[in-house]
Amino acid sequence: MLSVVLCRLTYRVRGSIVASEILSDVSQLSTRAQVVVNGGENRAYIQKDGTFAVDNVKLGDSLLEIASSEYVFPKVHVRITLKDAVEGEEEGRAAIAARYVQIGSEWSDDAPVLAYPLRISASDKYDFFTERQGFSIITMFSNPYMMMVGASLLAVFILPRLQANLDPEALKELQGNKE
Amino acid sequence: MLGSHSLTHAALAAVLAVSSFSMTVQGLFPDEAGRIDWYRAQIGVPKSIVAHTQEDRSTNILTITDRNVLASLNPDNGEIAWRQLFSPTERINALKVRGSLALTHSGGNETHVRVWDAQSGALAWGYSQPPSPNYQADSGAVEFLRKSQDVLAIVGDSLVRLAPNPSKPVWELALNGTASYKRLVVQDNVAFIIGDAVLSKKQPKARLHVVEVSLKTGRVKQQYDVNTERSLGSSSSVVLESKEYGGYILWRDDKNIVWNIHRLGMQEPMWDIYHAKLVQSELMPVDMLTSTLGELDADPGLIADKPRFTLTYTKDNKVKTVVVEMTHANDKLELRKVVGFRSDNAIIAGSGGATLPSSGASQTERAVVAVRTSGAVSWRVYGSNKTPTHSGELAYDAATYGPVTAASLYYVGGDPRVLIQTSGGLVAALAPGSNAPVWFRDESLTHATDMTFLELPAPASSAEHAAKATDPSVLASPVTRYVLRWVETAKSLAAWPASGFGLFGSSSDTEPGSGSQSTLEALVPTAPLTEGDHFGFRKLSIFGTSTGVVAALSTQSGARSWTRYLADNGTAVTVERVFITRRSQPLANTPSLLTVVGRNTYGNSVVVVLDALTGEILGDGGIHVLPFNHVKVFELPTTEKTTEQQLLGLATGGSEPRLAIWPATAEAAKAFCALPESVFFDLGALAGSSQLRGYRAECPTEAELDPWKESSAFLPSRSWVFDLPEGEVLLASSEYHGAQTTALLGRVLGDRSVLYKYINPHLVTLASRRAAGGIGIYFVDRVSGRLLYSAVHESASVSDKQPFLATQSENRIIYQLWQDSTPVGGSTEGAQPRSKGYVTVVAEMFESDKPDTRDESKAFSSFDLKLPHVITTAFMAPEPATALGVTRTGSQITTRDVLFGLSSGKLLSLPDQLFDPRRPKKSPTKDEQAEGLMPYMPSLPLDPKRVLSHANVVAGIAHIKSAPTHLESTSLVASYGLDLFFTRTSPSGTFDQLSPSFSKVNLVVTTLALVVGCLLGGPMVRRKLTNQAWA
Repeated sequence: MLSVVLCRLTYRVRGSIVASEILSDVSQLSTRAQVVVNGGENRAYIQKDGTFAVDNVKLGDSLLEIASSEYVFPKVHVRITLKDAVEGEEEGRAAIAARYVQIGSEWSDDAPVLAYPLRISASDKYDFFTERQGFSIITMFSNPYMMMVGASLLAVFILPRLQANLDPEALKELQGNKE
Repeated sequence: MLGSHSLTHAALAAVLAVSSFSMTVQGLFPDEAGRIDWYRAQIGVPKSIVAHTQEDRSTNILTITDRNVLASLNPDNGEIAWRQLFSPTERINALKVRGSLALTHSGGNETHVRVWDAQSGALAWGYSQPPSPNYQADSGAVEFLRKSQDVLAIVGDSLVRLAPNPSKPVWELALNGTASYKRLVVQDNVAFIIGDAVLSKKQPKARLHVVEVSLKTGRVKQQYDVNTERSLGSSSSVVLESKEYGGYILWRDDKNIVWNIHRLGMQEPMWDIYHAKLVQSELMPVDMLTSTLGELDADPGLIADKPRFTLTYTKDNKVKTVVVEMTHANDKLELRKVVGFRSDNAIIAGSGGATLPSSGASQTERAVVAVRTSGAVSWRVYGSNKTPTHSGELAYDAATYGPVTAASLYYVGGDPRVLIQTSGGLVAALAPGSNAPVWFRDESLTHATDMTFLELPAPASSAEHAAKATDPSVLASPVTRYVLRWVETAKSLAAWPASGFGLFGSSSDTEPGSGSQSTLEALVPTAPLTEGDHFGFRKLSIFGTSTGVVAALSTQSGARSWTRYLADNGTAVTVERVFITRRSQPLANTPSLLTVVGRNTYGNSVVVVLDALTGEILGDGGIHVLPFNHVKVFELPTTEKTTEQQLLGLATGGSEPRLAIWPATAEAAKAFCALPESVFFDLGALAGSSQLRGYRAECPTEAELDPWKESSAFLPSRSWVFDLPEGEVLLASSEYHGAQTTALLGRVLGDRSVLYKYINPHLVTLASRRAAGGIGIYFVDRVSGRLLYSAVHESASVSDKQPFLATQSENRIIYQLWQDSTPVGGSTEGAQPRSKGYVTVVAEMFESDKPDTRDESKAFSSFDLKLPHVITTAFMAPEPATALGVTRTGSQITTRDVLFGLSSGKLLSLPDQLFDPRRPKKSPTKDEQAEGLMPYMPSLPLDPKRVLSHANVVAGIAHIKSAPTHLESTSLVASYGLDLFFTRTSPSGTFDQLSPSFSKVNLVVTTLALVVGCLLGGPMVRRKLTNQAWA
């Protein structure tokens, strides 16, 4: 019975995107960027000043992500718990604890709790392109094929000269060894 | 001697250097963006349009669409200034604009009110109302308050007043489900909310419930019913708002010739009676009985000084419309006729432009447009005079995008623009003096339900074309065609030096109009695309939409080749599937066939056969309405002998399904019965079903096949029933799409032994919701109904907001679901979730768990099937995905990439190796290292270099399809849903083509240099050898 009542209680999670070296002006963030809770269960838009409020977030644990096409944001584990459910009070006082999480690793309570309202800053900017490499002597010669070619050229041009510079006796000795 | 040596080595060095440059580099180059791909941002078909004039007198069009998008369009070219996508489960109900702010009301019981900056599209503030048990369906309205930044809104079951940045409403009034409130009329100190009262046995007649609320306190001042016998939005009632004189409800009783007018808030008298005759002297009582009333302005609160409406009536078989304005004279209500005009088959709309308070209401903002939709599309703008101020026509063929269904009027620098939209999904802006649209948006593909690729014939040489015209028999033999091609090549070789050795020619890679949708593109494409290219990059992608449009686009540029609007009895056919049922041979006279399967408004199956290259509807009947409704359509592995048309099976539902075939001819039925193996089919995941049933089509005697009619069908016998465990409900089913090709039958392990792949084309994947919570996954064989594998994801959940996605390719099934580690149904307290997120599960099937063991039987039979050895593993997805797909190449020698459509608007392509369930979770053994298995990582990476859509925001990807090209390395990838994005990708690198940076000039120069070197060096070497001999 209690759980049914608890399920109905929903909360508002507030926070803001704050400027960082990667995103120095929050208003530059696309207006399309959204805050997504639990993979689409709740969504919220981000205001021009970077603030957001996600409504109707359920009690318990949730995953909060910032869906942006240009910037990478850390993912946040939000835990909403009832502090002390006072009887007769419809909405119990809730406590919120948010922690950064890595996708693919277990959620741990040992991670430091973030300040609330959340302050999230971009951790990286997506770079979709690979620069086309122009012609460069160094890259050309660092190619293994080119190294092989270099070695064989060395053998063709330098070795006969070395041979010529060798003492005739030493040469004979070498050839003798071979035989 | 030395000379020749060095030359050989130099040549070798050159060749090696060149080959090293052609090696592939991961990721997309900036210059490839927009050249190998194209992108079209879309919004859907507008539901409501408000022209919004800004401080600098520039105008933007704000619109909400049927694809749940709020967008701002440039009025000059129709381009999207900004757009906001709402969640598919949160329908946008209303849009209001004041000054620089736009206000939206969205959702159902859980309602959202948001205020946007109309200039930038950024959210100014928002408010959400949690669901209420008293909510009445379709309830909801929103309005700005006058002289205040506050907003009044009907949300869920409450009326709230919201101040900017609300954490709580200023006040909230519970409405207790008394009516379905749809209208708000805001006055200076009070507001009226009007709703359709809940009908009961005692009061079965429609009536309106009116509540007067104090804006300051939110207290109810009075509430009462008005017995209009009409509901809100009916064609016999209008609500009028006036700033000075208050709000009114005007309606005409059934079988009555007079109008009743109720002033909001006034109960004594409840209404006045008004004679419509006063506004139109020629109107006779008989005409009055069939007359209708209509509201003119999309946002009547904007120009509320003199509210207006239309009266439309038929007299002597002519339809006429009168625009009526409400004014007050001597403190008495007066209805005045502004203008009257003929309006047969016309759509009437007002110019409800949002204006700044400073600019005032000018005459243009009181204009009315009438768009005639039958025959040619013509339009007239009326001011207060009977003669139109502006008029125009549009050269438009309703067979392309369907009839005009809505219109609106806005002004750009004093010039009117008429925005029309069609039932197919075309949006076009018209201006006086031109019969071509100023701009248009083809939004039909935002409703795409299916898409198929059509291979275009390779470009035939002009010699072949000439031969076709003179002596087609030459083309019959491949040898003569080959000779013809060589003759052509020889001719072009002779012309090569003249063209500067092709160095300065433009690349034929791109077509004109490539890139995004252009305003310069003609509304009706002049020449359909009929020829492909040598690499198979240029194909036709043929879409079917739920709005009745079938459209063919070039995969290379996105240019429209043809569009066709399919309608039955005037209403659009909901297209569900499109199939290429015959592929024409190059230069053959029989066209490729496209068979479109959909249904009409009554649910009947509809089949239309078109020429796939031109979009021409074939056959005498054109649109075939069949006397049944199908549940599932699938391709049958046979063709009708006379027309070489592939057969389609249409299975109907119910307890005794039937299997109809298309073409519905006796030949087709005979071909079907001549199949060496019986046809087995299932009906897929029917809503709410807890079992999957398998059927086997039975053939009657040959005599019964003749005559075979469209209503004929085979009576299949039920061969098996797959019952889900108690309490489980089917959610989704997935199967193989199209013929599967496999290059390798097994996986070679590190110790050179082979694990043989288990490939079963009849495999069906089922997902079900378990009674105890969680999701069940079942792999079922369609022929025998046997369960091949099952899995339970106890803490997973699937909903509209957290979808189940699956894709099958070869021996691998990949699916994604939301993993919610909190125990379902249990208390949330004390439970420590390990993590939450989307999980991508990979199941790979092998014939046996022991290497080098395989089923040696020659024929594949589902009936003596061994169970597969299934290896599974799961990964955490980097971002929520909305669609899954796999790349396809011609022979599948190239590895596959797994494609994800992410909700942040990216099309991500991840390599096949990442999804290998055999990735070692401990440190890899020598054999595993030798096999090249990567150590297991729990998460999939979001590598931006692997984002095929790069900087484009591809919104709302719902489907990802892939088609092979003639190059084994390269596959075409298409994603659609809301936006369109087409590209090509090479999962294993472009091993069979030269890199774009390969310089042919360098090759020619190097070769020439070598030749010159040989010619110069040869005599020198000879001389040296002679000298040595003499020495």
